[in-house]
Amino acid sequence: MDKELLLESKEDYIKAADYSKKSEKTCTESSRLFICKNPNIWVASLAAGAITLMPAEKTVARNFEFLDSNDETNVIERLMIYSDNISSVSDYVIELTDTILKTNNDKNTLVKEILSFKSLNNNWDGYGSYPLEVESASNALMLLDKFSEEIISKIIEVYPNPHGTVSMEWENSSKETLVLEIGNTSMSYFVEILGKETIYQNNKPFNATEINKLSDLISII
Amino acid sequence: MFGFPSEPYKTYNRNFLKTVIFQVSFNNNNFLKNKKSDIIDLFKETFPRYNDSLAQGFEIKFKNPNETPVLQSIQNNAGIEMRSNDGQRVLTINDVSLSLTISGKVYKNFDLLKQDLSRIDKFFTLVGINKIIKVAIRKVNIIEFQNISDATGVLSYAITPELLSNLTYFPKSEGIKQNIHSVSYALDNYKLNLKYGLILPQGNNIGNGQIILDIDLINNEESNTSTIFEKATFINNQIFNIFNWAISKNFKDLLNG
Repeated sequence: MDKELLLESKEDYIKAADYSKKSEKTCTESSRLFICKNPNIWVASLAAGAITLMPAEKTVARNFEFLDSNDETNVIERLMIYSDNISSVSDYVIELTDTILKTNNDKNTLVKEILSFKSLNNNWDGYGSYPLEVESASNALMLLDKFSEEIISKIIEVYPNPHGTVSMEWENSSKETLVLEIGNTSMSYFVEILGKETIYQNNKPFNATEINKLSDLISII
Repeated sequence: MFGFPSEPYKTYNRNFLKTVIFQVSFNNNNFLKNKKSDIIDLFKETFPRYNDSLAQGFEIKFKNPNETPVLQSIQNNAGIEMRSNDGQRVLTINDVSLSLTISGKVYKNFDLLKQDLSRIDKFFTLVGINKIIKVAIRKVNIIEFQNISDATGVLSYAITPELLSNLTYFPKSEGIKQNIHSVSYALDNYKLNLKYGLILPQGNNIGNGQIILDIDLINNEESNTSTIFEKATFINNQIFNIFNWAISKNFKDLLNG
């Protein structure tokens, strides 16, 4: 925390931040929890509850500081020091899964999700949409079979499209994206990579060459 | 240093590294807002894909106890994130640290890491930093295996038995879903975090299990920027010693493959 910034502030505030997951979660070091000497019970409860508001896998609050602006001396008493060195096993497993393994999902879950789109009715979006076509669903499942587990684990979203196709998305922390649409007889996708022009590939067949090309592009995301 | 037996450093024919992270920390001198484009130019030959990395968080503001506090999310530029062409190496720079994360798929040995950071001395000159306060390397080894009824047997194959002495003490060990151990050392200016063990998928045993060996060694001594690679080499060698100490003989044979 920037102490100068805190001292300049005249407002009461609690600030919790997780700076740039990659640089913060590499090497562990102590984190400190500060609570004002005479905490407002409601605020203290809010602070405690705030930790649980954010999904643990997305944000881990590292530093809390609470300033009582009514107290000119800015009394901050350190009530607890908790060290990441002895953080709970469950926190470690979450960090491992979310940051290092990056397992968003598994194949089984995705298969169920795709099959569930088949049960959508006509006009499921209220604008004249069609449910997922059988051929599109079959092609999507075939692709899942061809993709490596690593590629599958990094899919962030699967969703049906109004015209009966299905889409899958990959995105990394730099917001580089690959969006794939799977149809009855072909697939189309675009890739946005920083520093390069967007790559568009339309109506590609489901053959080994095109699937390998697609897999290679996904693996650099 | 920590008393782990030394072994002559070598590169195994195979590895099960998932990720290698190198980090160096320094005192904040707020260089980022003025030097961002220069930093990008310095590293973009190796890391041509770059973007701002965002800080995520929330703040609660209240002005007096009678007012309802306002809870809002904040997103500030926290640094630069730069990736290699293949996306397997990521360089992250902010006002207090520089980190290089290398995927295990492309990590061959320590020389690759030093090669990627060959311009780090120019970086420090550019931003006017001559002291570092931390050098750290973390190597996460993960062995995936198809879930079998008694995963503890697989764990015993990879990790030296002395580290797993509690395994046979648990009844019905085939029911164990997670067996993670965490050990931390702090000696002189060094901190070691060693985590090892087993994670199995929850539920109906579908999917792969993982054996983890996660070694994180940190030096917290303030020193000149010129000492970075000397310290990093020492840390890397220590991690090698710890790794060799922790794995079983069977596993070493597998790595020598």
